[in-house]
Amino acid sequence: MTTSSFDRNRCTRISPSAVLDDRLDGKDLEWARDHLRRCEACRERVEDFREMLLLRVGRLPSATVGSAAMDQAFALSVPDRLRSQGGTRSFEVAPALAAPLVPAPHDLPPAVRPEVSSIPDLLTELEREIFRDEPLQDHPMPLSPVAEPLYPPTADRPEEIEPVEAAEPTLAAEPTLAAEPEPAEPAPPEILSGPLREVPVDSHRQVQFSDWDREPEPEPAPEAAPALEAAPVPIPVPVTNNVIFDQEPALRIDDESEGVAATPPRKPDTAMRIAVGLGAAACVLLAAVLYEGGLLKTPQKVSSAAATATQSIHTSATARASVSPSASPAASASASTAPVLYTLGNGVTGGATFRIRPGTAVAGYTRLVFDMHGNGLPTMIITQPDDLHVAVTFKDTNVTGAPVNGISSYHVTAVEPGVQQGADGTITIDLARPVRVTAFTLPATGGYAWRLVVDLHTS
Amino acid sequence: MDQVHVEAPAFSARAASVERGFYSDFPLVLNYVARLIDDIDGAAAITCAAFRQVADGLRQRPNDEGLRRADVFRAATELSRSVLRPRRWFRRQRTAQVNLDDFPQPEARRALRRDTVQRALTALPFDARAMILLRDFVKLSYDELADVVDVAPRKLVHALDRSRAELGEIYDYIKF
Repeated sequence: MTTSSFDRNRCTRISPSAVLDDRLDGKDLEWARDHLRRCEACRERVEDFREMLLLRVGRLPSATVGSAAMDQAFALSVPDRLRSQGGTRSFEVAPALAAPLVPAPHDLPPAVRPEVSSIPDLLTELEREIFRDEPLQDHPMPLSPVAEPLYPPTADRPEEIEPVEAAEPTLAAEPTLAAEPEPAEPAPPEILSGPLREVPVDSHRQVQFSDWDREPEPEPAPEAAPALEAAPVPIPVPVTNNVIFDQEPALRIDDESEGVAATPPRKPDTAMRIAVGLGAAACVLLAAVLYEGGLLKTPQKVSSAAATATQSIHTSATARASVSPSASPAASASASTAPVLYTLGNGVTGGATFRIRPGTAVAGYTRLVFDMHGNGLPTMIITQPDDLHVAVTFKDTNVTGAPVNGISSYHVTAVEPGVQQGADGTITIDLARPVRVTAFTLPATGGYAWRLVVDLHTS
Repeated sequence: MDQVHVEAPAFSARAASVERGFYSDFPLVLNYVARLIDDIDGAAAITCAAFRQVADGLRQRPNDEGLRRADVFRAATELSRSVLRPRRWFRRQRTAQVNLDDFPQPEARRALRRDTVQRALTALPFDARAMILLRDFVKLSYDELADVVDVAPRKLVHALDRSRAELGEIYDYIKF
């Protein structure tokens, strides 16, 4: 009862129908629960079935039948002997609704981007669950429709520059303003009966240093205010210090590096940051140049751990090739030795891959659809340099514009950003496990672009 | 006289039961047939014929029971199967069309045509489609379903597994 055998690629000990339809009991049920707790494949299958059946088939809309149609059908269906004995209908049938219960078909926009629509798709949540996808950049979450309260314009008050001593009574008076009686019942938002609370903001307030701040203070706090009033001597007040949070840990490095030589204006902070950034960039460039020159090559025969390290270096080198377009002989040699799985396309040039879609909710395989602009399909070479990488090379095609964020699944760890090597572009798929690759192409039809479909099956 | 007095309410009780069963089940059977044969226009005739067939069969039943849901769905399924069977030159007669008032509404017809799940269902074999619709759309119990499709209840789990998996694969293939 609990087993199913139609799928050979995965664990099929659990029959999803038996679980979903409550056909298990006793020891079978306990065993199934225990297995589902441990087996991810079975759990995914059960979830797939549940989503398919409960969310889709179970909620198929029904066409309404009016009472007149029902009476007509009753007269046609039931023999006279039963109808005449029954007499007239002893209950009322609700009339058919003017608007049918069948929801109006979704009028999609002219399918420029088919999966982008404001209509809530029932599959979206499951796809997010499976691919653990973060929301796309161009589909921001809509803001919650909270109406902003209407504030009356504040009275124009001449800006006063008050000394620090004068600010204290203002702050002390704030609770009295806040404690003013408000209407007991919440008034509707358009009627503002009570006076609005006014919060005084003094931008010239003296910065208050905390205890841990080892900034050398020229004078104690009470004497700082007269210095501000006099203002002939520049006060060493850090411009970037935050009055609200009263701390600024980023300045500590600067303080320690400068030591006693801290001058009143803190301009070296920005300069130091720029210098550090330039230094880091120089380091990266130096490392790239050294690697490309073959100076950082690791010995080949070390161990299995070293072999994996070499693989990761190979991957990052592929990604870094965009920095220095001159491909090294080693990289090209490794690319050329990778086994070619498929060569597809019509050799059209000048196109661009603009989108990658993870295309299926079936846990048995992961589908990646590469959408391409252009007049046709470029030559596409799918290679598998090792068990955990699949590279798709698009000849004479720009691939740098395709966003790859958040594409992950049972089979795919991530998709690396497209790397442009001259006219050719390469997109590398990082695999979570060894897969069997199948691929095919689809022409541009309707609102769909030219497509390359790569299916990654569990091997 | 006494016998007549006793029998008359029994007949009217059956008629009332038939009437109640018809009015409660007719929309569901009609929608089921429409999805099964993927034709909402031809569904009314099949549904009426199925009810007629079951109501005629009540004559042989001794007690006062009314229309059984499983019987109606079984008749509707068999009639739908015969409608979808490929026609030969000597079996040209078509089922009579039944036109009901205000049915189907154009929106319902359009929605059925544009429904992706419906297109996936149409691609399934007839038995698999019937099984899925009866279990998940009509929500028949396993015993009723076994009665309708004539499969042992303990084999239904595997049959449903295969059908549902096939539906899922087809849906995933065509949903783009």
